[in-house]
Amino acid sequence: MRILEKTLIYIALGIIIAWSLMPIYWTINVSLKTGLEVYEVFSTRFSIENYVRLFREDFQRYLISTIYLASLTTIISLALAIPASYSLSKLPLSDKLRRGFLVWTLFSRTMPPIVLIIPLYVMFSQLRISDNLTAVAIAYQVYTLPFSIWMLMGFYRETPREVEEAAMVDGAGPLAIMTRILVPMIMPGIVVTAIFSILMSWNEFLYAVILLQSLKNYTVSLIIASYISEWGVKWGEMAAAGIVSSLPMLLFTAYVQKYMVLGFMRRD
Amino acid sequence: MKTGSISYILVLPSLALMLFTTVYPIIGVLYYSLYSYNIVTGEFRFSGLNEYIELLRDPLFLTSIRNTVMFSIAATVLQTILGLIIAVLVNQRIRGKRYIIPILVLPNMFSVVVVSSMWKLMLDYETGLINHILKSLGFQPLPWLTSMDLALFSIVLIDTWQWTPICFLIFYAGLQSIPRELYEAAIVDGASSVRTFTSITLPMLKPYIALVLLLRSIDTFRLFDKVYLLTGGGPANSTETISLYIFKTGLVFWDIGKASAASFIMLILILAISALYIRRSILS
Amino acid sequence: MNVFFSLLAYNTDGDPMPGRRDFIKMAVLGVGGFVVGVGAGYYLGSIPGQQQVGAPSGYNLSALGRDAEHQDINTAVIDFFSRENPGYRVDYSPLAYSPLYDKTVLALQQGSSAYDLVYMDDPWIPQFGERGWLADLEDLAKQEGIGLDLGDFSSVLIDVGRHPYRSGKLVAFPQMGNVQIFAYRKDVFDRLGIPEPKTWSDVLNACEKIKASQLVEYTIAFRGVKGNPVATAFQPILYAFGGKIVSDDLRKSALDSKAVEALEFLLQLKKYAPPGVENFNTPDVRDRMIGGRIAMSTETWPGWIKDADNPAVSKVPGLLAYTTTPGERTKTSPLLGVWYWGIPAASRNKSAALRYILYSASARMQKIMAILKGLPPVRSSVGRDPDASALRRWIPIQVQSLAVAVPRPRTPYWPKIEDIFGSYVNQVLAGVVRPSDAVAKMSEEIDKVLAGG
Repeated sequence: MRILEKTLIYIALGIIIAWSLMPIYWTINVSLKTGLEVYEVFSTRFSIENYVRLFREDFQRYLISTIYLASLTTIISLALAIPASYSLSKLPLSDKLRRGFLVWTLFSRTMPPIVLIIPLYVMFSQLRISDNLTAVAIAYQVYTLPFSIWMLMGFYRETPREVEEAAMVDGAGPLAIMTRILVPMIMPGIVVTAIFSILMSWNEFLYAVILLQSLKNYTVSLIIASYISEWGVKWGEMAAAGIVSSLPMLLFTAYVQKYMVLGFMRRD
Repeated sequence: MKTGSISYILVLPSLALMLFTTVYPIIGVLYYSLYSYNIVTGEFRFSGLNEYIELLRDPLFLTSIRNTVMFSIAATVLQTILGLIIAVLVNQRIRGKRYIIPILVLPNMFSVVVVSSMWKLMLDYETGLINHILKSLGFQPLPWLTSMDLALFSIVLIDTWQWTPICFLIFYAGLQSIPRELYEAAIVDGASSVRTFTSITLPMLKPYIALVLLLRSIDTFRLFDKVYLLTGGGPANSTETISLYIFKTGLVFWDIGKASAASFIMLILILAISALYIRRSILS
Repeated sequence: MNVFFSLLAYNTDGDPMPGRRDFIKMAVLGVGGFVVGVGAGYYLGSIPGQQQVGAPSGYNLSALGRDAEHQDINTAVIDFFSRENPGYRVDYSPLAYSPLYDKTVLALQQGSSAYDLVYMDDPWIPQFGERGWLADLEDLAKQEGIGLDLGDFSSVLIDVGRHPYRSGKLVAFPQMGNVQIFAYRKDVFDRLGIPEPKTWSDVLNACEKIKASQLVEYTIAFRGVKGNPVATAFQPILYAFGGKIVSDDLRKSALDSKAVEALEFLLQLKKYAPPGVENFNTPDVRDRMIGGRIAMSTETWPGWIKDADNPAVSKVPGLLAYTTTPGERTKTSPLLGVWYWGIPAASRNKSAALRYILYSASARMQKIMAILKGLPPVRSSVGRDPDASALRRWIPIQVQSLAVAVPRPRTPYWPKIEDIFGSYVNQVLAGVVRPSDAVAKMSEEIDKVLAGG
């Protein structure tokens, strides 16, 4: 019985693993082959022609735009969230304000992005800042800021009180405590938060497709989406672009997978 | 005193940005929904609840609500059940967990645009891998994304591929948190594995199941990217979702008033679902 | 933005915080990435947002245009232009169709002087013209003392460039002569002794014979996916049967029994089309034509058969023949899809912009681009040019089609109407709605839109 059970379990897992890997494997396959060889599973005729074509068509420009966008978004979020979380977790504040922030962080996580974008779009165009990566970075704060605040608050709360108290005894003010003592202590947490902001901006699609029009401002998501156009899918480029754009993020994601635990469970 | 004002100053920029990016748009949506506003024709006049009435009379809007709800239920249930099954399987005494788990989680590490393009490679009628396999096995190829009956199901499939890993992770963590003693006691009592599962495992997993159901419902309700990229709402409007409807109405036809009304309705709907979630988290 | 992140929290129960080292590594990587990204952004000068306001000197023009083959053609023209007109510079921003429309609308609506040239699909002209966003080109030409050689263009092209249609100011100048033609496999027709089809009934008869002969995989294919594709594929048939979508005064829907007949004819054609035709879009039809899998389509655009005679990509080199779109009760009505140049009313470089437009639409440039890049010309003289037609066999028919072409209804509400029309025709094709019901529902909805709903 034992052996039968075990075999069945391995078979089931095998099927699930195959199912998980199949699209990824296939995409890599399509990206490395041209023409009809795509279907020859064991053909060894690989070619990096798709990748070459990708970069000849200026793909690096979209990578750079996306890096710019992700960086700017994260810098803004962290610059605002680090002090705000500090204040919310360590300093005296009106209860209502604290409650308000809490509700905002939860609320923004459940809100569908499309609901907010139309007034933002109208306002951005009236302010003449449409088709502009900086404006998109601000729009992204809708999600990255509350999330960063929530995450950092958790990290701040874990720091031991004694360190702060010692510093206060030495006459340090709250700002100094934050910058000289706490921020270095929660640096790992800051990095994790930053990575999530980067991931979110890198992978985002809806706001980008609405707020950006010129090809020169396109992010990687938009350019891959454009390969699925009405003129015919450019299969090779699409597959290659998908792989290239995912690689950096795969590394980041793999790293923070360790932190994928139930945040809510720890409250119970 | 000094400490007091510093605390507010530190919070101020975030507060300002929050008001700008969340509160303003919500008020904006409510405001615009009361007007007949079209960016291209320049029309801008107060029309009260007219936009809402038109919306509720628009068969496409009602279809989009129906499709969204159907998708949400189907995807959520499917992902919860599959996630649970996989978690139970992985939780058994098997070797190689260290390698299996990262592989299982791999699908969730790609952006939605990349996932959509990967599945377009799989499901395309002419050139997709799945139809190629079907044909070589002697079966008829299926119009996954181009048939009224199959399209929404295909989207459920893709979403399941992408998100079951997360459900799995949550359930797996849940299973890990069940104390061994309970299982040992069950073995001593001679309970069958089915009995153990239903009387120990499931009850202990209840909060996790609730969490997954809630999170996935909220998330699947927003469906936009996959349908925008792969089906455009077709065929015959069978994959038109609320988000897609709002997008087209407001940003393709420039009917800001109607799109805002639809946005507001969607906001109310999602609040209803997530009210549970928010209350629960606030209480803790 | 996805709930993925909401699960996040560092774990208190057990997983030790990764070591200092790891974080320093990640942090360095991260900071490095930021610096590279921001620095590269500045370096490439694309720190976005800074819209170059048109420099006051009369020599720097800024243009918004399409990507893909339009970009190819326009940038080539710009290249010639700047070389032959030293001191002139044209900055071309390529965009895809919808983003181009969005951005042009926004720029024009804000009265921005950032752009001097806007590239427009002909249905946009009524919308933009209605709001007074475009400069009067004839006026401008008169001021500059330049003559506009309008006689070399088919009258419909100039009429469409006017707002109001036919009678108003000329606000757009034709550049790319995109129009429907009818392509068919001459070899198949000859084999079966079928003459060139002149009416849709001829087409149906041909279908019957070709299907029986089994010389091609499927006799006919056409775009059926809802929206603009099926609306465009079906309109020539509708008009050929005497039907109309919108009344001449653009106030009401004009769909009637003739539309029902046309829809039923379409369903007849469907029998000879591959299964799933109600989901076909451009690539599905084009690839089949070039791949030799169909004998004809209800519509063909020059861009589809651009490479039909190139054996490297086409399986039917030299086998396609071209004629004007069939008629039926009325004469032929190929649909116009011409691209125009316009000058925003707020531009500060209007005379320089006009100069570019006339250069780009000159007989010489049109001929060069037709030969070099496969541009479908807008000038009748270029259509008769033997060099161009030797290389691009479809040009004579294309230019002739321009002379008899029909523009889409010139109402600013056209996008919404086309969406309704396309949605119902698609449903008829899919068998979900009957032609008579579809026409009834369409009329109702279109009336509502035209009434200002």
